[in-house]
Amino acid sequence: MDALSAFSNPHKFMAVSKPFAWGFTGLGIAIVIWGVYQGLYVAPADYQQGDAAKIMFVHVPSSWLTLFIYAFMTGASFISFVWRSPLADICAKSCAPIGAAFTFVCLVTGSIWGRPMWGTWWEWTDPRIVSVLIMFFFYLGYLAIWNVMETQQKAARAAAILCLVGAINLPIIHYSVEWWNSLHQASSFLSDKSTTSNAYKWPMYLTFSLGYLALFGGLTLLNMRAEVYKRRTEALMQRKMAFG
Amino acid sequence: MLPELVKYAPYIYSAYGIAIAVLVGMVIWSVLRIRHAKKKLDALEAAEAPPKAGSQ
Repeated sequence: MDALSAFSNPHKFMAVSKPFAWGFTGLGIAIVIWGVYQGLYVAPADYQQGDAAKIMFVHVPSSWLTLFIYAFMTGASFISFVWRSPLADICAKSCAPIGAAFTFVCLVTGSIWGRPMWGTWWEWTDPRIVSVLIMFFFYLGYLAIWNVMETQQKAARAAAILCLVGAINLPIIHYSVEWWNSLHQASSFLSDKSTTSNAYKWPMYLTFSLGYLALFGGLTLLNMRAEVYKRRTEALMQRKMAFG
Repeated sequence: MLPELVKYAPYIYSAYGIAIAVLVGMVIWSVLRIRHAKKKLDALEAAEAPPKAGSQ
């Protein structure tokens, strides 16, 4: 209950979040460095895909993070929209650039893997690829709203509505490979269909997922702290202008 | 000291390179952002601080 209280009050949040922000960021960097070393130097080539399967180690976890971060943002946006919690909208806003970055990594690494494996960089008729691209645009749109609205209150509400609308895309992305004919292979999570047979697959997916997750946690907390500082600065400046 | 990835080396290095560049960029951006925000707030708070007792 204390932890919940700390993460709903900006003052308490600032008091407790610093070690978590830097700790998770450091942990994430260390795990990703370890993952890159394991992926490039230790993991053997796949018997079907050859060394190209190594691209999956960075691609698949980034696709999971893309969905996870958007779902997390949706939860924060819902809390912000219904209860008008300032820390919830700070949280959603801080997640967005990180989610956009992971979506970019997912799209680009998938495209690079697709060239040698499918013979194409991009396939516009593929529902999985296009729905993830739409999710990327939702992230960018969300960030754009925060930059164009006149007040924080208006921006928070408009951004929360956009985020909640975009959540419709989450099940579409997940089930797109089952609902429609897709070049993209079936879901890797909780199934073992159509993916690399590399014995290092799951340990590598787990390593990169943990690294990405720790980075997401650390960087979100850092960005939340920066946003709280920014809002305090703006409040002080407004007070200065009002009272001289 | 790069590993010998015979067939798909350009694809693998591009994918890892872009992923690492984006992650490093995110970390640098976040660290610079918080430092800048903290510095700005500290400067404003220092300017707002009441004068010390007896300084008049």
